[in-house]
Amino acid sequence: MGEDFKYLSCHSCKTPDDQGDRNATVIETYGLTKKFGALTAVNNLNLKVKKGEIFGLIGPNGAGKTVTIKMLLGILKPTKGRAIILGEEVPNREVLKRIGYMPQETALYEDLTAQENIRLFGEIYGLNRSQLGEREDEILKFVELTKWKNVIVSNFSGGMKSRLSFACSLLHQPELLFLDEPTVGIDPPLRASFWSHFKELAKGGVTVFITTHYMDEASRCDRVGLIRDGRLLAVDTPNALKSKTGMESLEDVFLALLEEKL
Amino acid sequence: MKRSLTITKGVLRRIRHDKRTMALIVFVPLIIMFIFGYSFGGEVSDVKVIVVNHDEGFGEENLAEKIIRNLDTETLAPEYSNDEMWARESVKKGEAWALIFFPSNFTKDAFSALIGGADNLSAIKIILDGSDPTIATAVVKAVHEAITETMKEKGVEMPVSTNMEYIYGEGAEFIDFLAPGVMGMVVMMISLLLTIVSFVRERTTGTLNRLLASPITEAEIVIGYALAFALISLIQSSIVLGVAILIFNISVHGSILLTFSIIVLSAIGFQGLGILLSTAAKTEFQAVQFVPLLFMPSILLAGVLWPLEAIPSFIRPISFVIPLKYIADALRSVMIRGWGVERLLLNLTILLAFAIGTVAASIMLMKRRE
Repeated sequence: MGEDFKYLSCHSCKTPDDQGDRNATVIETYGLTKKFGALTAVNNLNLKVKKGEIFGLIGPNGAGKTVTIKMLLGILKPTKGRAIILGEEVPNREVLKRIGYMPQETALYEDLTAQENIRLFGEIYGLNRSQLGEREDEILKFVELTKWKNVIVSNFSGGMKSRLSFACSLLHQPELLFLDEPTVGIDPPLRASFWSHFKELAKGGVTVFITTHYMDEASRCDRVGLIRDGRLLAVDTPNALKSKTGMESLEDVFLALLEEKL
Repeated sequence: MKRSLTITKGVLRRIRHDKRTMALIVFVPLIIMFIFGYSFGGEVSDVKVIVVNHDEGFGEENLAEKIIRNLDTETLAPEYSNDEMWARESVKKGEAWALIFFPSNFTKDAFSALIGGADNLSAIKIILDGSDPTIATAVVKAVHEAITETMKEKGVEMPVSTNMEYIYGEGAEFIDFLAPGVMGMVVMMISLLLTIVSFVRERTTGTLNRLLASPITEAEIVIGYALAFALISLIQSSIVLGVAILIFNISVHGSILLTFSIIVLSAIGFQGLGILLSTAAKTEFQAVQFVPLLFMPSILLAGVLWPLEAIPSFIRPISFVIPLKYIADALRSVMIRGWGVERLLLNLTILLAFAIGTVAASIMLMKRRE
């Protein structure tokens, strides 16, 4: 991907190095719970995420990661508990303007071109024509799809779709970014490139909330929460988790925690 | 509202990129118009007519009574009255298909013609709503058969004729009856099919999640879709109307604007229904299966290809819960009878309720977020 990180800082941050209210809490949840019939997908989740950090929600498939993100965005209604995002009680449509979301699925209109997708989502986030024109070029260059902007998305490779999906979630310069398994099914070089972007965004003051089940990615987060069967088992920095449990790798920490709890 | 337009543009663009769907939108109305344009409706029954008999007879004889007794009551459902003006008005209002009128000197004229030297030809007057040619033909045929039957009983050939007067649809052919029905049918098919498929796709590909996580409201999404399908339906009905007028020479007696308004209301109603149905399907394949399920009863029972009178009477009540019946009725009344809004209040109210109801329900369903 390209190098134009300066464009990726969030709206409210004056300079990319703005350390302003670094300690501000961006996400808070209190007893957040979601049940589907007899199944409890998320169980009494209490979480705090601070501005500008990369927070990883780590767990196996079906642990409740996606359901958590959907509740934080207000796409799903919690059965119990509440969430506060950027100081506003969820659901709140105004606050969604300041949030970017990259769903687990590609979530693109496959029968539109890359450019048409970008314009559509840009307009939905309220970008006007001139803003859109500027952002469109920047973002396409950034995800290296400029050459392909007039190609119908269904002809794209998996990696290209991921890049476009990422671009669509960044268009409106969000302060908070939800990335639901953004690196599943993409090759290692692109994965590395994605991670350098995440880091750069966080440096610019953007809070990144990411889910993954790759442990090597977990160790690149500022803090991680380990989730299993809807329960949050532990929340801390990767290093603290390792030293607390005396384990070499996060994978071992996770396995140890599971055994302890079971 | 601006965001709704974004959704509208998106829907239309996606269709434009999809050549097969584009072809569907254009060719389905063409094909249906041509296939059915050359075919005919079936036998009808229980056609509501009003019989007004003013015949004073001649001596002991009253020919009119005999002819009336010989009317085929399976085809016709006659109602008897003495009030010609009221009966005429009923036909005008669409409450009866025809008025069969016997003048006061009917028998007398027939007898004097028989003796020879008849000045006045004895004639039954049939005042017809010809907006449905199948029915009009059936009424005239039933009267002629009753005359033939009566003459056979009498054993003489009486010079009795019929005089036709059309209140609506003079010279209307099957194609005139068909064109409005086909318009409604095509709009139903495309709006329903395309909304179900695109909405299931919005759900399965995750684009709906992206939209729900954005500042756009549920109402803006649904309205965006509704606008797209309103536009598509206008294009389609213009195609049907164009073929009907240019190739089949039908004439439109009522307002084109009203015709298009009915089409747009229908399209909005069916796209709302499509969104509702899409929630009951997990894949596009499942979704498409809904279409024949809704479509078959609609074509068969809504009076699109043949009049309701051609449907067995015990099934007929089902027709009254099929939206397409009200659409076909309304379009036919505007195009053939030339009716305006004031005579279509019932149909328009039902269609408005259908459109608002399905749109509101689909917005509400999307808001539940379970």
